Amino acid sequence: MKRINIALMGFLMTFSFSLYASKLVTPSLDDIEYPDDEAPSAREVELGKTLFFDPRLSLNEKQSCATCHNPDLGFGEGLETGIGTMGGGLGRNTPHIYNLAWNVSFFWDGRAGSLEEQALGPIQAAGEMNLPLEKLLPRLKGVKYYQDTFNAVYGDGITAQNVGRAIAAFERTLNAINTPFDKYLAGDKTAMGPAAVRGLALFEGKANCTKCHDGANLTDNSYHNIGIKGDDKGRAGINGEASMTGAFKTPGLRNVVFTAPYMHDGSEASLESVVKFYNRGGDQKKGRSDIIKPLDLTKQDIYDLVAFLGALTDPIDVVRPKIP
Amino acid sequence: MLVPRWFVLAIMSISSVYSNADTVKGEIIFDKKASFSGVVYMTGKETKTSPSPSNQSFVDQKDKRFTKKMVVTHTGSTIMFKNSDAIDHNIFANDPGTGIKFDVGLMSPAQEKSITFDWEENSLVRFGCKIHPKMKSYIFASPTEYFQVLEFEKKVKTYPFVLENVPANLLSLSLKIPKYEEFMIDLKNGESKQVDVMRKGKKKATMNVSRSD
Repeated sequence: MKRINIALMGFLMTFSFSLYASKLVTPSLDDIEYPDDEAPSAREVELGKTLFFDPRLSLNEKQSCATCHNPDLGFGEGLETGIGTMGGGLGRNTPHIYNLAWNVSFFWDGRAGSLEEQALGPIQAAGEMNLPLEKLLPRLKGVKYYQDTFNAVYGDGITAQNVGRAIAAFERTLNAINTPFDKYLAGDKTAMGPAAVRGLALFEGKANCTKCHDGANLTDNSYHNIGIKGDDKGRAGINGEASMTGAFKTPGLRNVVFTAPYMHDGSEASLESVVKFYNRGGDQKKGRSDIIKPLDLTKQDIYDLVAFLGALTDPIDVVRPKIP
Repeated sequence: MLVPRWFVLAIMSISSVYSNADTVKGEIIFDKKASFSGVVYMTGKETKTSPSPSNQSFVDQKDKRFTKKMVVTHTGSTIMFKNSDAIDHNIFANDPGTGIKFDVGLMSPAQEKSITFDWEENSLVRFGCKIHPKMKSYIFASPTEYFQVLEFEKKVKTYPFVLENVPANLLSLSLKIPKYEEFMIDLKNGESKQVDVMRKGKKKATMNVSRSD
């Protein structure tokens, strides 16, 4: 009998422990997995930043990465869904790029496995920047700054792979890690207001947010169908798993206040409307994850949750570079 | 009392077998941040050293992590996967280096699944979870039972290792670390060597290793 009790306790301990989401903590720069195991040089980051803002990276030289990922608009463009360089509309909301240094899959459907790979996607996509790499490389080679800097940083000069590496190196510096919430975690109990403190308790409790928005960057890096109307296949369009139909990657929430509108289709304009969406358990039941269910939040709860989301803010000042 | 001659010969031959079993001892010191995991192992040129395929390895999933950073198996052996989390997982591999793919399928909480692998010896395969892309670990199909897995941590630079009872005819020492350049060196009894551990042409660590009785 005693032995059974011990076994039962062990079983319960295992499960009660595992039921908790990953802790909400401040991201550690030590946890970033750089491609070469070490942080890039300042020169590589500056090269990536210059490329990020350079409209040469689009066919008609009208768009740079920063056109859609505008630092003044939370690295989005404030629209429900983006616009390509040729003027056509895109199917999804422009994802923000805060704290991607810790991320492992990219795009709403996770089709890229690294920032380096991701960076080259929109440049070539016909609906986005529409510039084949074989046209991009000669363009960059015609610019002395790029010739000199690529050679100095990489040795093998201007290659598509190095363009991806440089842009990724810049993107890995866009890290919000000193928010009021981080100061609160570090022991400064006045860093967050009372509403945000209540919001944190709701975030981890009644509102069920940490089922998906957990860990240092408030994302489980996974994919969920949260019940948004529409027939976008999401992750299933990439891996063919029927269970992931309509499932999209959980976005990180650091600096989320800057990144409106929200959801993969930009269908929620404000953080308040996002919380209300979850409070009613989403809008479409087909394929919806079991995690999503009505929350019975009060008006005060919604106010408090928005206040907590506001406490995840650490503005990142990006000075636009001079384009060579 | 007279000891029979055959007995003396038998004892001598046994002791000579044991004296042929060496200890390989060393350490890997990273210059900066350590990698994720690695394996150091001894092989011989024409010696079959892998144990019988009945041995089973085991890896669990807890708190959205694999409990091992590298699982060692042998060609034809079985790995048992378990899910001790309260959420579903789906272990899979699509390893570009080896071309090896497998999919364990959806695993509910507390579920276990065993998979037998028939990969070529020396294959090192990354695997993960389809649902939680941040989860990762590696499977190494070891050609030998004389190996040691090294699980690296971000703040520790030095990792000692000891391989005991290594038969005298296993003279080649190998080190595999994912994404690093793998190497194999000869190491005879009485020798000490120092090797640069490289990744993409850059030195990342030093291995000091020696072999003795």
